[in-house]
Amino acid sequence: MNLRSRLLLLLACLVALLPGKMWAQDDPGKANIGRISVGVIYATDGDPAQAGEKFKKASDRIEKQLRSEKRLTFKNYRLLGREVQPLFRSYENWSQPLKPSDEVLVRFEARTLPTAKSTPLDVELWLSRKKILKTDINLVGEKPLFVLGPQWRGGRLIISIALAPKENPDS
Amino acid sequence: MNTNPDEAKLALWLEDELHGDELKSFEQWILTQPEHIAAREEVRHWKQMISATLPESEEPPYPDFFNSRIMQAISQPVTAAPPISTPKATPFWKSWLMPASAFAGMALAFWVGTQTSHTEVRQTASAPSKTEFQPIVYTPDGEVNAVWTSGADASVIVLEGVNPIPDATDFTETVYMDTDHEIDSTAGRDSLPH
Repeated sequence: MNLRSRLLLLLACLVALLPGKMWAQDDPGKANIGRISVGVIYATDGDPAQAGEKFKKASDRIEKQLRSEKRLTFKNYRLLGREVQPLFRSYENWSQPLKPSDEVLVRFEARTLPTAKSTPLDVELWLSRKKILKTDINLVGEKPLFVLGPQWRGGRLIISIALAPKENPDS
Repeated sequence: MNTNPDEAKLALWLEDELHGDELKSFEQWILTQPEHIAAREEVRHWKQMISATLPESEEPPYPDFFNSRIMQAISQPVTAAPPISTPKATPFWKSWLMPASAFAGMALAFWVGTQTSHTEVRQTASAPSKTEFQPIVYTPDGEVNAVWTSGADASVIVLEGVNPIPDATDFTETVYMDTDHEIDSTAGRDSLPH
């Protein structure tokens, strides 16, 4: 490929990419106004290896939060998956924490602009491609929403929805 | 050219109230207008008919009573009008005490308001359960029941009646999405259920 061909290819790439980039910048609805962490936890009083050997224990912080609620108290917790998604100003967003499986899906969108104290959200929980729950929540600080969900392999799946920590979103 | 007659003169002429030189000069024009002549004849006809029907004067009913009431009203002395109260000279101390007390009241109300708002903030921080947001929980599937509770560390929704996920379902292929993904969900909605 000679120099002229390379220049033409570069120009074509710029032309192809520029409108999309410009659209993204001009669209205020796509402004990122927060980040939402959605996770799925396998909670069981039995053998946690039933979920699979690869899954690790949930973090101490999550375990503490779970054990503080009587209905969520189990002997073992395993983190099956987690996804951090941006919260757009006006667009809805889908989280697929068990990707590639779509067994658990969470749809969320901002109800109003987040404040320093809370992030109001409209949330839907889809299980097995079926809408199971619709609610409006205010996420506050490190206080998550836990949804005690379906039974699976002798335990329950717990779906957590929380604001992603700024410094270490994976914790 | 304005050919309209003077409205006032026309009204007087219709009522036969126009006299002298005014009548002569006015009739030089009005007698060439047959519709006005017809109108005056109509007015004359109505006046004649009314005068033939109604008496020229009529005594009021119960004249004695009427006259006695009039004489009584005349003979009654005119009652003195209520005296207009003239403002008394305001004492000097009252002239500044009223504004000062009003100002003090406003200042007190403002101070109480600020103290009240501070108290509400403290109550919110110390007793969140009283002011905490109550979400609406809706389950489209009638067989599913959802109960929301809120604790100090987390909010909880307990779902009951949800179909269990088959044990054969394997999540070991789950890909941890530990990094942010700037996914435009609206662009990828075709692959998601609705």
